[in-house]
Parts: sequence; C-alpha cells; structure tokens
Amino acid sequence: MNSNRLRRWVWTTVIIWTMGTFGLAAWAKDASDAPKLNIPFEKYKLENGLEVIIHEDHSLPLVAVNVWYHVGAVNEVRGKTGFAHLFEHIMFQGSGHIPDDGHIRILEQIGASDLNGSTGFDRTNYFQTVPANHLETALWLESDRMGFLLDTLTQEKLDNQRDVVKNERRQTTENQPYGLAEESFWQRIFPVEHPYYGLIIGSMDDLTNATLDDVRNFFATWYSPSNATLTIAGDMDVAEAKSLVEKYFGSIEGTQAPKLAKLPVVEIKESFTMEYEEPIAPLAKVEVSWITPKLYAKGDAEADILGSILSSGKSSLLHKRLVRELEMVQRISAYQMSMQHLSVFTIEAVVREGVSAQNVLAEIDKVLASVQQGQVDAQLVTRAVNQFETGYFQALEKIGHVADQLQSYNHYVGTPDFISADLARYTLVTPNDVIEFANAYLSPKHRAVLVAAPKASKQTDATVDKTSKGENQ
Amino acid sequence: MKSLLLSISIAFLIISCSSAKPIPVAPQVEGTQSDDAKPVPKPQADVTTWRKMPPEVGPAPEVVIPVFEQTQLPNGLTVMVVRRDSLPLVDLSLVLVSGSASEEIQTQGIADLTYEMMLEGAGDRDGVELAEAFADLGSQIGVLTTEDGAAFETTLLKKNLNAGLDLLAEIVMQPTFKKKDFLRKQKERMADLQSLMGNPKYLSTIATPKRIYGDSHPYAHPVMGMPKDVSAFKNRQLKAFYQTHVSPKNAALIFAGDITLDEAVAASTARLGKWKSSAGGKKTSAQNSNETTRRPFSLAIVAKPGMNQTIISAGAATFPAGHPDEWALRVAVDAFGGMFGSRLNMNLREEKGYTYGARGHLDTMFLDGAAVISTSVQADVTGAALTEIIAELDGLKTRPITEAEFHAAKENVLKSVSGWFESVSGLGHAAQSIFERHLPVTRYTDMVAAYEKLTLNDVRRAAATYLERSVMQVVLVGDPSVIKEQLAPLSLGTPEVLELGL
Repeated sequence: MNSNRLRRWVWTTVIIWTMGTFGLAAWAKDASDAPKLNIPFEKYKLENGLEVIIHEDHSLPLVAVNVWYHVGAVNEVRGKTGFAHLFEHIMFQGSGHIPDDGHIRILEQIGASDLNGSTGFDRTNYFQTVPANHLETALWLESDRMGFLLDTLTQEKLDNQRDVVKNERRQTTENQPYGLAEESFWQRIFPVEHPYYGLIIGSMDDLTNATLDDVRNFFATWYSPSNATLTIAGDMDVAEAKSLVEKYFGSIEGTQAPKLAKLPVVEIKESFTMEYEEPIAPLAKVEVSWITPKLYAKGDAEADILGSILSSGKSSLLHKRLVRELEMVQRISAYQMSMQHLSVFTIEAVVREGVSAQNVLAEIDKVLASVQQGQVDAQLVTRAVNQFETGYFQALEKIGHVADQLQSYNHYVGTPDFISADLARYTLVTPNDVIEFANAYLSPKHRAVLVAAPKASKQTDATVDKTSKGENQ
Repeated sequence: MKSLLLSISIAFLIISCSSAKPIPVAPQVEGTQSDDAKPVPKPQADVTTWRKMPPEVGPAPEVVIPVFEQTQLPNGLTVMVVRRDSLPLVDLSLVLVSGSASEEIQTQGIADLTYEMMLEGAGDRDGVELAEAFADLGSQIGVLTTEDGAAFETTLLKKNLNAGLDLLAEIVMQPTFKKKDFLRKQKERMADLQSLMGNPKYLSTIATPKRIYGDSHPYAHPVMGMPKDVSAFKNRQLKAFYQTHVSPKNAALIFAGDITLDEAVAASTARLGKWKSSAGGKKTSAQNSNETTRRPFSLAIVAKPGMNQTIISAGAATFPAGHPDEWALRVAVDAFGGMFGSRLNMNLREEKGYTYGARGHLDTMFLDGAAVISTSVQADVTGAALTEIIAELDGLKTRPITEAEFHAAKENVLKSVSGWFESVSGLGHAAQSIFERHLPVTRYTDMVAAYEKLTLNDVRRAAATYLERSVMQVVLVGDPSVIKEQLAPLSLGTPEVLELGL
C-alpha cells in the first residue's frame, strides 16, 4: 500500500487488495470541461436490511456486481489488528454451496474482470465485472458467502490465509522501501487505542493470534445483510435483476451491527521528529504529516487541491523548487489521505545522496510558508481543479468504477447521489480557501516528521533534532 | 508525474476499459439454454437444493472488438484511428518504433533519456512551460519507453485536440536539447537509478531478462540503463539518437476516441505533414528472425541482505510477437500461472501459504517474447518453493493440461475481451502496442478467431515446447545467507551470484 500512496481520485481511502495487483498504472491524464456529471440509480432495501443500488447502462454487454460491507479496520479491537483484512481473505475460500477453491475459479472461467476484494480503514468491498448473461452467477456467489460462509470454515483455511496475509505483509511492508519506517511513523502519530493504528495490514503477532472464534464472531457481528450494500451496474433487465436479488439475498437472515464506539482523539500536540534506520532503500526519505479534516469535510477538497499544486507535474511548486532548481530530492509528493474519521496530509521526499534531510525539510518549509503567506496563483488552482474534473470524467468510463463510486458515496455520505456535489467541492475552491487551509491545518507546531535514512548514510550528517528516537528495534 | 516503474516494465500492456462503436466478431452461445430470458424462479422452501448448482444462464453476448484503422501520410508518418464517440475525448499519442533494443552497446539507456529530454524544451518553451501548456488544456504529457518503442501520450477533450497536437508537433520536430537541461536531467536520472537499484523488485525486474536473453541480446539491458552508462552520456549523443530515430517513417500518430480517420489525417497533415527526418528516416529497429535461442537451465542469486522474502523468477525466451504458437502458449501460461486459479498460485499460495501470490505471464515482444513466472516467498521456504515450481513445470508432462484447465483459460479471454477496451486510453494503448510490435491492425479480431480454433492438443504441445524446466533461467533476489543453504539439497547446480553492477 505504501507504493500506492499517490492515489488517483477514485481511491479516497487506503486499501489492501486480496489478490495483489499486477497491472500497469497509466500516468495521470486529463481532459476537463465535463458535462454535468450524473449517475442515475435506484436504491431500495430488502426486508432483511440489505441495501440495493441499481444503475442501468447498456453500452457494453457487461455487468458489475459489487458488495460493500460497512466494516473495516476501524472496527478492530486492540490485539486484533489486521483482522478485518484477514477476514476478507477467508471470504474467497468457499462457503456453504461453493467449493473451497470455487469462488475465483468459477468467475475466471466465465470471463470476470475487475475481480477482487479490498479492505480499507472504514469499509470492505468485494467486486467483479461479468459478461451480462452471468449476472445470476455473480449473485449466486456473493449471496452464498454472505449467508453461508461459516458452514465450511475450517482451521486449515484460516491457517493457510494467515500465512498468505503474513506474506502479503512481508511483500508490501517489510521488504518495500520505507515500508517499516512508515508503519512506525504512523504508529507514533496514532495512539495504540485507535483502530487506525494497525494500518489495516496489522502486526505479525496479532495475525498469529487470530482464532476461528474470531472469524465466527466477526462474521456474525459485521457481515449481516443489514450491514451491507449490494450494487449492480451495467447491462441488465432491471426487473429481472431485482427479482434475482430477492431470490438470492432475501432469505439470508441477519442481525443489527453494533454502533461504532467513540474513537480516541488523534492529535499531534507537539511537533516531533522520528528517526528510523531504513533497511531496504539506499536513499533517505523525509516525511512531514499533519492531522486534517476527514473525508468530505470542509477542508478535504482544499487539501487535495493543495497537494496537486505542490507536487503534481513539473510546474508544481515543490517539484519545481526541490527537484529542478535545487536538485536536492529524487522525488517529492504531497497528498491528503482521506478517511472517514480524520485525514492525514503528508509531504514526502526522497533525498539525493550528499544532501542533508534537514536542508530538504527547510526548503519544504519555505515553499509551504509562501503558500501560507498567500502566494497562490489563481491559475494554479484552476489547473488543479481541471485535473480533478477530468479525473471524475475519465473514471466513469469503466462500469466497475461506477459501481464502486456509487457505493463509496452511499457509505460515506449516505446517498449514492453525490457525484455532482462531489465535483463541486473542487470547482468551488478558491486560492483563498487553499491559503486558509494551509494556515489552519499545516502548522509547524503540530506536525510529525520522519527521517528514514539507511545505515551509515552520508545524508544524516546534518542530523535533525533528536528529541525523540524512533520506536524501531 | 509518471511513475518510474512505467519505464522499466517489460510487461505486455494491460488494456482496460468502454463503450464505442464496436463491431460484432463472432456470436457465441454458451451452454444449451434457450436464449429467451428465463422466468425467474420463486424462492423455494428447500433453499439448499437450488443453491448447490451454478445458475443456468442465457447465451453469451457477442464479442465486441473495436476497429483499428491505419493510413500513411506522404512523408511516411503512419496515422492510426480507433473511434469511440460516446464521450468528447481523444487519447493522442505519438509512437516511435525505436526503444531500448535500438540502442548501441555503448549508450544503453539513451532512448528513454532522449525522449524525456524532448519534454524538457521544444520550440520557445522550456520544460516547465510545456507542462503548463498541457495543464492549461486540462491535460498532462508523458512518455513511456519500452524495449520496442516509445509513446508520447496525452488525453484531451476534443475541443483541445488541435492545440495539443500543436504542442506535440513542437516536441517531436523542435526539441531544444539545451545543455543545462541535459545536465540537470542526467543527475535526476542518476538519482532515480540509485533509488531503484535498492529496490528488490527492480533488481528482479532487470536481472530476469538479462538471464533469459543473454548479455548480448538487445533486450538484456534495462530500459532506463545502468548508472555507469548513464553517467557517461553526452548531450550530443542524445541529439544523435534523436536525429537517427525520431523521424516520420519510424512513427505513428494515434488517435483513440471521438474522431474519424479523415479528421485525423487532416489534423496530422496540417501539423506534421512537413516533418522530414534529417537522417532520411533511418529505421534501425532490429528485424525479428522467428528463431529464438533458448538457453540451458541456470540458477542465479542477486544479493539483497536482510530481506525476509525471496523474489523468485523463472523464465525462458519464446518467440517474436505474431508467432503461430502465440495463443496456444498464452492459454498454457494462463492455465499454469496466469490466472488466480492456476496451478502455480493454487499450489504456492492456496495450498502452501508460501506467498501472497505466484503468477506467470507471456510477454509479447517484437524480437523475442518470454514466458516468465514470478513470486515473492517467505525467505525460509525459498528452497521448498523452488522445488514446487520445478515440480509444476515437470508436471506439465506427467499431468498435462486438462480439458477443464484449457476451457477455463480459453473462456477467460474470450468472455472478457469485450471489456478490455472500456476507456480511450485503453484503446490508445492497444494501438500503440500494435504499432511498436509491427503487428497487423486486425490483431484483436485475429486473436479471437485463433482462440476459437484452439484445441487442447495445441495448448499441450505449446506447454511442452516452451515451458520446459531445461530452458528456465531462475533468478533469486534475497539474502544469500538464508538462500544458499536451502539450494544445496536441490541438486540444481551451484548458483551463480549475479553482480548487476552500478
């Protein structure tokens, strides 16, 4: 997940994929001036509480079936970090009427694409796009694991997927440049009582300690129809689809999911710097983070626009200054990681050899100070807004994205009908909004700094202040 | 900004996304059900009975493949169009058939740096001004270099197409190659390489083709070059590469989206019709021979001490793009390792839990393709995982691909291909790969026709011919102190410790 921090607009949350991703990303490209964005839909509820969202689109013979469970790492308790994600893996291991290795096999041979599941801080989703004639097959599979997962649960399945997830952790955190450093840094910012602390993937110890009873309880508590939303998007006969939904999901019984307990406050009361001895990467990395407004709150869109102004493209402020003019860093990026209960804004830079991290930090500060003092050209904001506008437009090209976007709005703001309001959050941002955001939230007094430098690096000669050592051993 | 990894991947482009004027290729019917919508059964009391069986479904929809049209301007420039008019968007790219495989031995890595330098100044604009000009059109420009070619690409609203094309023409015809920009860009590239050379995944990515193809092959070196070579580049060498390789005869202008061939030809003629190559458009792209030399089994270690996983790759050269065995082998590789439910992944992940995933894929490339397996495994099971991989390779003979595996892998492609082209950039990428690899514009319709004719025997024969353990080049990236002792009992010979060098 660390490598995917430079998110495209679609993924407003950090997520972990069940199957890993093997594709190539394309560079960000844009074209704006979108017509008014609108995704027509119908939403209703089954008697058992399952929400259903339907979006009809006959442009290709494809249909996307996408289920969101309103549970994520945020519902984990202390000592069980990583469990929501481990559980997600178990969901692909067969259920009452589906063989253990059947779920993905069946979907692959009917030509399913966009086939995966992902766990975030705040939600878990399962999705596939299938040829239109196979809508019923996808509903059959999704409903079986919603209704009958525990029927075929075994210790062997849990042990196997525990090993898989531990290897996922090794691959995506431990052997990833800066992976462990960033995890330690995150865990200095978040108190251990906060469910975001485990960073979704969780700790090896907690994964080791997960039991079959944990799986049973988690399923019974959170995987009820009343805690889930099913979205079907694409080429279908709506009346037939509705009747199939009733057939496959209507008979599944469930309970009411508990309300989320009040979360501990996260704040950086006093700025600190954490040093970490980087085991993988040869160059040092500097990160600066602040706590910022949650997803869709006032300030969230401003943060995204600021991130774009600071680091998207050659003409962005930080890139132009630190990469091109000063030649101090190999790369630099600024981004808001938006979550349901709070967000984190981060500026991160990989430091070139022979350059001190301290000096890089000082130059970042100068650029940021110029923004805070009001030096934000209206044209910079316009360009950033155009890029977001284009992003919304292009993402609607794929039916699987459309289904997931409807789910996202439904989960975070309570209605799927939000895309034009969402885009308006960006188009209405003014230079003054960006300046106000930077002053209100990106204070030098309330920030966390990470310096991850390889052992015996020449880069830490002018070290940063050592008021606080890292937690690494 | 473009991801660095874009420049280094040798993977076949993955195509995505949407809705255009598709043409039906071949109707197919699945199963034996009637093609009327079935009445939906009422929920029944005995729930378990109907849940036990997969639902009966209606006939499969027709496969839809977009039309790729192509023509040439008098100066030799190819113009390609893939039309989709559902949105007012055009994905515009200028593709060259010279990639890292066209480099001289002394200047490996120069192609990508040359193309990046073309974005650092052209006409009256410097690099920042070029980026700003595209940003004002609501767009960005980037270049992706591969072994076989390179593509400058941007996605534009149709109303901005001509303005974008003006800028692209400037970049292609009037790059400035200023010395100060070169010196800065060279340092940037050196820092990029320094960062990448510490990344275990990158080490695996560059070591594997080196072993598969052998040091003297044009695909053996990384697209971004090695630090020792890049640090010696001179600006004049970049200019020379530009003059030799960037010419209309070597290039295609590709329009994917809301535009007709006539409109595209008119727009191209107006802006690039006068483009002449200074060196007469010398085409130095190597010719493929249809004869690929496969090297005998080898085992190598790239040391990255301290890792608690080992990245295992195993691969063999196959054949040039367009070879008659291509689709049979693709099905074999998919069944063996390309799908989640493939033998390799089900064994190493779902049975043993050694890894987060094990995959195989077939790289389609102009000179020589490759079949490559890769996985990251827990370091302490490196030997056990390698034993399983070899057993699975050998198993292709003792337990040949079954009818069910063949069916699954074949249908996976035939049933999903309609969804490969959902976006204009997906269409553009498909066209780019056709041009870079000198393939016919009927590539995808040909593929569907070939897939429909494939037999289980074709696939078994391809597996036996190309997925032989005796031609596999195995590369392990990890901690030698943990790996070496696990290899000793496997009797695979002494591993060579590979020094990639800086």
